[in-house]
Amino acid sequence: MGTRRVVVAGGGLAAVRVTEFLRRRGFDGSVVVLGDEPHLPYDRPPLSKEVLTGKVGPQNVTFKDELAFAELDVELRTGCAVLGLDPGRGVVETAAGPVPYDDLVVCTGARPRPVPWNAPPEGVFVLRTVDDAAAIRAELERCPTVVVAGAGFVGAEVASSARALGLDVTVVEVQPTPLVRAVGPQVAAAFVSMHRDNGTDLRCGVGIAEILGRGRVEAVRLTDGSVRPCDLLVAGLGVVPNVEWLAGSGLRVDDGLVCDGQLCAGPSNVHAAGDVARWTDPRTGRSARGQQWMVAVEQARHVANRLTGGAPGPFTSGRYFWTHQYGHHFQFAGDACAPDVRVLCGALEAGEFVVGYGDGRRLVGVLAKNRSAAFVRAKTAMDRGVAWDEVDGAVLG
Amino acid sequence: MADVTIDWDRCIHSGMCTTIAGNVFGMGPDARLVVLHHTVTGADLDSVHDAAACCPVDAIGVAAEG
Repeated sequence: MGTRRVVVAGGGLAAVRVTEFLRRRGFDGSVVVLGDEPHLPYDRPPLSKEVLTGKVGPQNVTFKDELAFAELDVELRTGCAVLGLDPGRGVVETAAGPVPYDDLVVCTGARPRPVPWNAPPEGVFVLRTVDDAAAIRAELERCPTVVVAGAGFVGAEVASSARALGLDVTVVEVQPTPLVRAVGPQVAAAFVSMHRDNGTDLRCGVGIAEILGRGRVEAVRLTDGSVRPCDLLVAGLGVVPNVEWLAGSGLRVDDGLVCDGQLCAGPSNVHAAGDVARWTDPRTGRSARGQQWMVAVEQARHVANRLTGGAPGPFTSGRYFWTHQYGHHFQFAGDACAPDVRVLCGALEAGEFVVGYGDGRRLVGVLAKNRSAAFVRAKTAMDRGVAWDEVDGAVLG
Repeated sequence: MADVTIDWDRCIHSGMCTTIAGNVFGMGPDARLVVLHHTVTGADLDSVHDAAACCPVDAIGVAAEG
């Protein structure tokens, strides 16, 4: 048994994967995970889908049980929020006392942006944790009229789940179209029609001015003056990184924990992974936080490689994500902030399509709806660096 | 040495397995994912374990032989 101690601050996906990759690579020191929630670490993607529709119970989304953590020789401390960091002494402060480390991996994630309106005590929710999902699931069983604030991935999946339960759903999105930053304006229109084709009242270009109701939400007034009655409001307004505990640590915080290209956060023994980590993607030259399941896993793998003597190059991500909405399966990889957009097969208004994004020279992004095999072929072509004017042949075969 | 399987009911064709463990996972003639080698060892086994950890729907099974 080695004497080196890795402490992982946070108890979500990135944290769990760091521990797994470390052990897989033969790390024989001690590993301590400090998770703030009282639950075993769990997977978030099912929360807005299978948990809300009741297909999966909230207790069934954990990554592994306590025995499995013990078999991995990982000391898991649940209900143990991190409160501060002293990199000079190599100590994480918690309510239960200081936790010394040799190496620290910051995986404290993010939390939902709070609702900006005065909200009554009942009927207004955000969705991030398994407790949030369980509470919203219970509400969906007795609330026939739902308003969702925000048509991003969480909002769209909540709306989809509520419609699957036969509920009356309105989605309010301040942008002119949903997901415009994620998929670009040309393709975002396809998501508008999908919402409406499935019976969701999608209201774009307006916001919520106020929530009406005293003890419980009764309606929302929109910025265009209209009033939409509802029994339940779920807000999906994005997230903010959990970095407040790093105040005074000397680490650089700027909408996330700022890391270098190796995901090192300043001191050579402090790294970050997951939603909290901000790094400059060498492929795009842009500083960003990943905020996607796959980016968190890729970062966990990279950090584990670093901690076990691997000398990988700068961290890069394929930026893959997927979403299920209204029975449709969407997959994306790469970069949607590209000037050229072309439908490679299918049609945007149809039930299936593959869209390519080009930077004028190369294929740099791929989005597919219900075309998994073509998606893989296009993604493989993108990874090979296929030229933009050769995309059709590479994807269509 | 281990046996590699894919749960096709779970698989969403993310393509991460072909990226991470291209010696073991590939594309068939119809562009569907296929397992190229069902029994793996050494570095390929390490890659398969990484691919399994990166699979978003936990569709890759790795079972030690014997």
